[in-house]
Amino acid sequence: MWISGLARTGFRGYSGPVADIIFTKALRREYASTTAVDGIDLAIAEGSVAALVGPNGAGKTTFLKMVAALLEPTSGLAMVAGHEVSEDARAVHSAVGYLPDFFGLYEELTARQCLRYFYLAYRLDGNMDRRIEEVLDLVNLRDAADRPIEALSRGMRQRLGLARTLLHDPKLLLLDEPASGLDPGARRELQDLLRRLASMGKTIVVSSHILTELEDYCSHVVMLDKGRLVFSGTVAEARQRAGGGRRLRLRVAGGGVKEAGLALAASPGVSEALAAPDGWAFRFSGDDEAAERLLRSLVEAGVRVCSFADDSGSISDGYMKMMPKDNA
Amino acid sequence: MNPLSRRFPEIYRCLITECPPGRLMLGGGTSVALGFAFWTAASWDKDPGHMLFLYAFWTQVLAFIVYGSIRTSASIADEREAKTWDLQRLTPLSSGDIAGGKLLGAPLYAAFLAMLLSPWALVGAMVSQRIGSEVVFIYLQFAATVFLALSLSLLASAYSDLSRGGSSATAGAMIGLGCLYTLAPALSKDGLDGTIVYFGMTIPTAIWFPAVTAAFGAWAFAAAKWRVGRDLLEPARFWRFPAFILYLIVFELGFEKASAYWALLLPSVAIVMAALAEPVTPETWRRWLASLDWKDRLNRTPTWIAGGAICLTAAFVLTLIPPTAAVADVYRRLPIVLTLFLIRDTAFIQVCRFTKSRKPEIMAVVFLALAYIVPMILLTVSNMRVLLPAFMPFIGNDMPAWQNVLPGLIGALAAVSALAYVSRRSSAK
Repeated sequence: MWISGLARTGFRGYSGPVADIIFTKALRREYASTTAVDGIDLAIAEGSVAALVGPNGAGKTTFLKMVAALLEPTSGLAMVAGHEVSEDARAVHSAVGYLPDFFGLYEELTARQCLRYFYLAYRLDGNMDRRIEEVLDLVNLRDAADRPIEALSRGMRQRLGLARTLLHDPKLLLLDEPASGLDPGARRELQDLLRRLASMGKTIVVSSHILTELEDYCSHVVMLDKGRLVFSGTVAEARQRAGGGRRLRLRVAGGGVKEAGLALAASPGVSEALAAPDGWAFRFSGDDEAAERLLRSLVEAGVRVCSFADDSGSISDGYMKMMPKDNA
Repeated sequence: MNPLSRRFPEIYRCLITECPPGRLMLGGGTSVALGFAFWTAASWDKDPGHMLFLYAFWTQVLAFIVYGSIRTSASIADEREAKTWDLQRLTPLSSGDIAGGKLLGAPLYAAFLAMLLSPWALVGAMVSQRIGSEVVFIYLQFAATVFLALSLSLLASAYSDLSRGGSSATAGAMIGLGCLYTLAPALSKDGLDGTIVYFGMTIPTAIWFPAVTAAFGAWAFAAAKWRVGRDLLEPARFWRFPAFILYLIVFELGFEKASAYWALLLPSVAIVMAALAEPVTPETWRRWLASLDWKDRLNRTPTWIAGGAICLTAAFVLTLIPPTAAVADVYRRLPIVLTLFLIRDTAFIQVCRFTKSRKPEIMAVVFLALAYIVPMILLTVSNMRVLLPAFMPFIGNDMPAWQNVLPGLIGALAAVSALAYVSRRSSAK
């Protein structure tokens, strides 16, 4: 089925199965004179948790809407769970759980009634009440299940929105700015919930501006700017980019900073060492095994090592480094 | 959970939101009070039963048709406003499930009010000793008009982006009130007891009216379903609108006294309305023309082009129909003239969509209105009505056929050339 989709969109040269749950090729979307998404090539593997980051107007929401088959691409290809969005939008709808960046809920209903409505709308079989209890438990909303939605807090509404997306047990969750407008407590609850979902094997694509929180549970980062893909890779790769290579940090006990410095200077692969009151930060050109040998040689040289860890930047640093200056 | 709610989840939601217990009690109390008020007012009349029936029936009509239309016209527009529409789009519900659910769910309270007044209407009919079959035909027409009004309201709602400022409710009220004009003649003495000759058959109007009303209701529902389906990215079917245009042509040809040459008038209006309502953007053009698969390209054909093609074909066929004693020979050219002006206007609407105007439809309507009204005023005032066929689809009685057809042909060619030019320029960008 997707082969015909490729032919229709002009990708006759592409062959081979699409193993990724999301696969896009030259994906483009225009609105009148604006190009919101401009030729994105991206693959997201099943089971990964990808952070979709970028400044306002980067095309994050448009990208997510196209992947959710709510918006037809102007050109290019988007395959989701083996279905091409332009060709088989209804199959894509069944495979994804999409949480938009606003609280689109039926205010007059209670949380339970709202979930019942969507249970019926999703044409699910089985015990409706049991399934609803399951998702209410998952999002920790059982106590508020019979309260009208209009009386729920913002955080509760967001969790109810997530419960709605989980009802039909989709493989892929697309969450557009789920933490937007939430207080720190609600954000923490949301983080815990996303971590739980990730541990359940769900593939999650979450767009957010709050980059520091994404690091805790995301395995991959996708950076967009002005509709273009700036970076896509693992969180470790993003950190590495932020640090301009691998950086390590050594902390020593008992004021042995000078001795540690001498030992580092004699070690291969170490450069640009910067002293700190309790140790050193330095660039290291070796791999994990070389780092292990370095640590052993430091200990053997009598350096009292307290900690020895990667000191690469955060996603935020990577974002600041990779984004054009007028955005970052 | 009742089976209807399982089939149409919208009914489950509407039962909770539209019909909470307090509202039902209020409606029940009001209907009892209204009934007694009707009874008291009717008792002063010579035929109290007849008056009671009329009071109760027309209140049912107002409740179901006008209030029901208001609620239905807000159904989809409200969802777009509240941003819950996308969530519905993500469910496996088909366009038929959603449109059907809205049609049945949104006017639930209006139906409840109408139902509560039924006993009063029944008592009135019994007291006045109305014939049972007449009551049946009245309610048959009522049901058909309800279906038409609600379907039209659903269609209006499907095309509304927002319901802000009560615009959708106003549209619903206007549709409801407009449908009362359909109901009133059908319930007159002639409407209930008369006959109509249609395609040579003599049919009782008591059957013909509800059948025609329900048929138009079904078309309106199909159009609303199609519009919902487009939001769901359901595959389009190119034949749907042309089928409606064909239906309109055939419908008009059925009337005994109507001239076949006027059969394209109603379809032309429908095509212009479709051209205005269908958001055919430059992007739609690009996608339509760039489509590699012929089936896909056919299904992406803008509805006004597909409908226009039917009109053009019908125009040639109608021209072949020999004139009768009642209709002059010059009228044979009318379908062609009408179709050429139709092509001109619909192509012009599309040209406006390639401009930078934020409201190209409004721009097109204004220019088209001026293109008809200004020459009409100027030529009438200056006593030069003979030139009217140059500016509008009129028949010039003393004109040779080619002279009568030429202005429409020039206009159509100019508008189509302009459209080809702007679309090429847009593609080049």
